[in-house]
Amino acid sequence: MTIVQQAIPYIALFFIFGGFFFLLVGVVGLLRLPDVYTRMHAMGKCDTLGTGMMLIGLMLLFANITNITKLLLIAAMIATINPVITHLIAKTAYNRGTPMVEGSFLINDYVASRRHRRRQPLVTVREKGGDNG
Amino acid sequence: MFPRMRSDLFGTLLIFSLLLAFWLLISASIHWQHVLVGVIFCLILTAFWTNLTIADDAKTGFNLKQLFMLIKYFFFLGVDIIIANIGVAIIVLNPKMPISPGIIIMRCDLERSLLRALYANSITLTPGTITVELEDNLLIVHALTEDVAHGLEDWALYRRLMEVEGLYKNG
Repeated sequence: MTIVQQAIPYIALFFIFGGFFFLLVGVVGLLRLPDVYTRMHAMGKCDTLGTGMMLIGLMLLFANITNITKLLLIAAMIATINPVITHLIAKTAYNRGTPMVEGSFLINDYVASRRHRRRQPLVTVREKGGDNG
Repeated sequence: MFPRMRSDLFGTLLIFSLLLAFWLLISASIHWQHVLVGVIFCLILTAFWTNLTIADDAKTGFNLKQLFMLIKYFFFLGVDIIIANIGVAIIVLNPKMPISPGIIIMRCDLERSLLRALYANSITLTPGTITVELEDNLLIVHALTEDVAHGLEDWALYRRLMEVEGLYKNG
């Protein structure tokens, strides 16, 4: 039994407790922050890294190619689904006019930095390049 | 299903090899029976889902340099995710909670759908910002602090994605 094999459970433990810490921070942020948008900050980010670190710790503990593949797939799914759902909630809240917390700023850089318009309308871009991504 | 496969043989092969690699990783054995079953099912799946995986007109492109740039991009995205989480933890666990939230409206010149989705997701996952809307070239971002909003204009990851897109257009 080499020293690397002895160290692996402790490294895994570090990752699992790190993930636990970030998930805890996400929950505390969800309770403490003032409005919908800022709460989405806490949930969208901390869940991704927290779950990812927990899965890395589990991978180190299993050390089995079949299970590592499954855990990697779970991590990839969480890393893609989580920001998408965060974006959807924020978008719906914004379009419904959910009020922000008092003192929010608004910067409009769109007009200031406009250089040229898109050459073709978005509809044709969607038709042409919708599925080449 | 077969004309499509014949018109884009490389894309079919790529999907088939991806599926077979996944099968081999899941089954974790190279006994000939396992491999035979895997090949049969991968062929059936590839043949049945050509209408979803292979486009009618466009051929599947594969650019090694582009792949390398995307891998580099994902590495820096991971670093940014860790920085973002530490930032959120510092803000949330601070008893005074130093936030100054707000909306920033800016433009985004990416045109390829995959890169647009990647960019929107990266904004959500990186320090203090979430994407609220990405419509045409109008991008609305919610920022947790005002410094973050000012730093978003020239962002390293955005430049990387623009490089990938430039390569795609030229090549």
